[in-house]
Amino acid sequence: MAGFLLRRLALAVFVIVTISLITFVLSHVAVDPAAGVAGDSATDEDIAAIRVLYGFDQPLITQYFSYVTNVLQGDLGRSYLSGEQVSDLIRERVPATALLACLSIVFALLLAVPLGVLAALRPNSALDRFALTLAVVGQAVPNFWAGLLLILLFGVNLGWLPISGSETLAHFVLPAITLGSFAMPALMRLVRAGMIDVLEADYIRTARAMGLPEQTVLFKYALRNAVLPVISLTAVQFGFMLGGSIVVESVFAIQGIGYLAWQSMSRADMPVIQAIVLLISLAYIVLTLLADLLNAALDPRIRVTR
Amino acid sequence: MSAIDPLAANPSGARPSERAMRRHLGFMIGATVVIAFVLLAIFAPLVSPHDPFEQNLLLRLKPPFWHTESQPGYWLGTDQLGRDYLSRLIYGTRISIALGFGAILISGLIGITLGVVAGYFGGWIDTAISTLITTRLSLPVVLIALAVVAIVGGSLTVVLLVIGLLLWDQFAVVARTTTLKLRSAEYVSAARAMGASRAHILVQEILPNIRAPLIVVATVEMANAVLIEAALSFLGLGVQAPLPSWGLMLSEGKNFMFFSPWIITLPGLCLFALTLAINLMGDGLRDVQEARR
Amino acid sequence: MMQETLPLLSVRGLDVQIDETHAVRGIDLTVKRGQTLALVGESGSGKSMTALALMGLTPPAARVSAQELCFETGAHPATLRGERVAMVFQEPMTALNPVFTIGDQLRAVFRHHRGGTAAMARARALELLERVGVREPENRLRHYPHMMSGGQRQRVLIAMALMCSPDLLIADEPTTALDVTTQAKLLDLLVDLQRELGLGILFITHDLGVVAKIADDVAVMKEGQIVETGPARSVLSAPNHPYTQNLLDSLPRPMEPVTFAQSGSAVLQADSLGQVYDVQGGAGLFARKTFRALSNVSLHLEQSEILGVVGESGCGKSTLARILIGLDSATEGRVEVCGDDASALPQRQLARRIQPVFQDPFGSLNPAWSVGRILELPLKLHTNLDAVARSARIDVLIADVGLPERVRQASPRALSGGQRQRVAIARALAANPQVVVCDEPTSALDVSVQAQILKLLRALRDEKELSILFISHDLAVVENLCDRVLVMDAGQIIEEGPADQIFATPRHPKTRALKEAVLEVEWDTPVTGLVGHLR
Repeated sequence: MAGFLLRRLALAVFVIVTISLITFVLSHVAVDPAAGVAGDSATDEDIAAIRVLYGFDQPLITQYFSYVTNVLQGDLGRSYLSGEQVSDLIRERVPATALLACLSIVFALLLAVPLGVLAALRPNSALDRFALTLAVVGQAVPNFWAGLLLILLFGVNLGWLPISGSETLAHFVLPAITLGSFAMPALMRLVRAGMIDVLEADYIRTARAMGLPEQTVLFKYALRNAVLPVISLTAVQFGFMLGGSIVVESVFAIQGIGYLAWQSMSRADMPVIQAIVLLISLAYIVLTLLADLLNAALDPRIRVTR
Repeated sequence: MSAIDPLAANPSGARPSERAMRRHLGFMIGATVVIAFVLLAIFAPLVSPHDPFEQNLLLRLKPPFWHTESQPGYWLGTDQLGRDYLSRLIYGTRISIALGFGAILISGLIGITLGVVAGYFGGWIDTAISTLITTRLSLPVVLIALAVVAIVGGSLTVVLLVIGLLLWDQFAVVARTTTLKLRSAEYVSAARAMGASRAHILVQEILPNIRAPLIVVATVEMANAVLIEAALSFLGLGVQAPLPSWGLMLSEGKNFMFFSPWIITLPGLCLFALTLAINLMGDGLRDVQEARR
Repeated sequence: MMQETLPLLSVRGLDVQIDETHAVRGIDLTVKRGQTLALVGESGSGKSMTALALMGLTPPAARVSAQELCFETGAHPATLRGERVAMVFQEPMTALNPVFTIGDQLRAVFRHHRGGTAAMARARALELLERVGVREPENRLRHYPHMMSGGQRQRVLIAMALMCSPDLLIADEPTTALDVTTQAKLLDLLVDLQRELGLGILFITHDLGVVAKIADDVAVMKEGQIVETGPARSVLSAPNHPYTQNLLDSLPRPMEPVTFAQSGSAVLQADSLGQVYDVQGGAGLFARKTFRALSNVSLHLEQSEILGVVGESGCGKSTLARILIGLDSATEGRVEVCGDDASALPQRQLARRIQPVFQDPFGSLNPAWSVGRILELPLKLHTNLDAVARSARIDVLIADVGLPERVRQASPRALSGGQRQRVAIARALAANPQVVVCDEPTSALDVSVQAQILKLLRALRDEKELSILFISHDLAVVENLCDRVLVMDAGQIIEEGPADQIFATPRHPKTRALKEAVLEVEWDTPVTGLVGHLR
């Protein structure tokens, strides 16, 4: 167990270092950072001066190490556009995105788990077919389009919900449905497939042969085994949502990380983009690490053998 | 020998999957729609009633044929610049189809190679490739793609390359696990014991037997690639105007959607139909594979 | 004689249909209190489906009907599951829920049926674990299934079945997945428990040896029907139905001892082989654990000789096979094939002299290829034949192993287990090797098919002067086929000698244990004395 934890942590650190390298290359090699800092109206002399002033003329290795040192001290640089600290910009936007992602994953799980279990109990029934159809349709709907349609239907035609902005909780309902229904199909399929597999397992047959009541068999013996893989996928989907929020946030004008990323990209504000990519990757890594730990805690086989 | 000769009933043993596929309704619908889209893409110039780029500012935002004020000859109306919407949608097929196939060609090549190599050789090679896969999985695809397009500039080639270079992870994961399983299969051991070359074992013994799950991955990733291109273009950081990408059409139309809702429903429907058809094909293939086990 | 009471379980006209398959076709069964009825048949005979139907555990697609299907009390046995009727299954490795402790699972059964406090359930669990021979039962209650061996898990499952003192136990091949010595111990346990508790047992098995050991009555099942039934003793010694006779004839029995003339020159020779593996998952990040799979194994095999290697799972016999055919290299010692050092030969050269036949007939042939293409590969690799000559040679190979010509175009998927194993043998013979290493080639096959494969191997040895190294866990098979035998245990050779001698007078205690665990059916002796016990 200790070995497993250590290896897992070492991997996480390695991955995050690799990603910091990738984003560094994107922002320092693929574009001229001096030109970015200088802004559009700057002359060549201004840019040259800035290059020396900011140390962009130093070897890349030196620049990378000073970048890493700064990041470790919480200094993510300044926005080319507003000149504000990137960390301040991001801190303002995190709550909206975190709220959106949490609501979405709750929405997805509330739909996926009961539906997946019920579908697995009666394979090929009307309910099962409905669930599978919902999954295949849900996977095919582009989420920005779904967002626009929801705006038309609930926001404009019915007038039930606000369609733009992030002031109240009501503003998050449509975005959460949009983002959640994108994650739902995969989760639902996994619950269903896992439950079907488990129900065919020998130990479920044993439990039935011992005359245990069906609800104990299903909801204690089977579900406990079937949810194990769902934990990992939930973490993965949550990570995808952080990345996918960019589209939904821009459709609903939610003042979150995704919206900030989009605004920064349209204007090549590299320090902000760099920080956001790093942050979302880090969140993903932490989430999957937590999921692994949770799995290890729930599955005695991992706990001992790995 | 046993009373029932298994050879008599089914001499080749390979056929049932094809037959099962032809019986699978979802697969057949999906395949038909995908083929229809491919044909539309190839023969776009022949099928389109108008030039998709020709603007007519006198005929702006005309609604489709089911509306009373629709314009004869413009079946699905016109956009905000007076371009024929049907023709633009047909030409949009070209972008999505080219991108879908192109992206899985690139990502499939990268992912399958990495996965098979990792799965077969194991050891430090596997550790290195697995770390690469984990790194890739930790990168937010849409964000990275957007960032790269923002830096390099948007064009169909750039979008295709970026998506192709990003979507190989599932190919690699599936190829790796299936190869890992087959590496210890007795027929692979038999070929090794026979002195067959490594290339022979990888290409002839392993690849044909991991093909089926990889085709399923290909359908999933193709749908994914189509959706990502649309999302990039929708955000204005993908294919650039005046090209008729469905995502771009959605983006251009969204300011007019409150009065002309069809301007966003139509390209969205096209995207939905294509991804749904690809997914249906993938699901059909998966069903048939699972039934065979 | 039995006194005339109501039988514990009566079944008349039981019929099970799954989709198009008619798995069980109107069978009758009677199980009496305190008696064991063995339901015996080959794979696909419908015997397991019968057991599931009795317990009401058939898959949803199955349609079950019966004129009569009742327990002593008149109730359907499925309504008495866990209480008066209990069941034990074949695969102990997967039959326990992996995420709950043994104690949780045992207690849940007791408390559901009997109520009472957790302490009472615990006491009952302890009592039974002790009775079925689980060591340290106190600790075991807190353990998870994956921490126990297959034999121990099967004991836990028997304990679980007995938690509420049932009257009837249905056991579906409960010992098939276990090593022979473990099987012998568990069968003894079941016989004891039956006497002690007056259990009625319906024992489902493919193994006539098991039937001879434990059954009072036997019902022989074939293609969903019972072809013969009666007291075990009389059915086994004087079967009425030709199918039963055929099953009995297929049992491996010792051959007339062939005096194999040792010439002294070996085609295959191994000198003090050893193999040490690194084991993953040591305690820390860099901790290495090693496992010794083989130590100081030497052997020699002469032309036209069949050398048997016997041992239980994990004794190192498969590791030895992999080293001999060049799939692994030994960490110690050396192998000589036809006088040359095997490690110095390129794999292709080695392969021309020594070829393997593996255990799993469903895994040893590439399902993507036709049989013809599978057989062509060794010819391409090892001969200079042109396409026409190769094609002719493939026809000869297919005929040599007794397969019909049309198999050539077939995919391995379309073949039965026995047919696949014949193809695997043909592939091994394609390049005319001097030695074939067979690793448990018949253990996945039905006895009647096994008999045919053994006959084929013997014929090939005689015709082609082939040398065969035959690895098996089954002493009866080895005794039937081999000239000389090596017995392995814990990676070492513990005994070696001519087959008849080893089996007549085993010296090593482990060999003796293996020998005693062999369940044999008595032949050609009058039906008196003990029921078909050890020979």
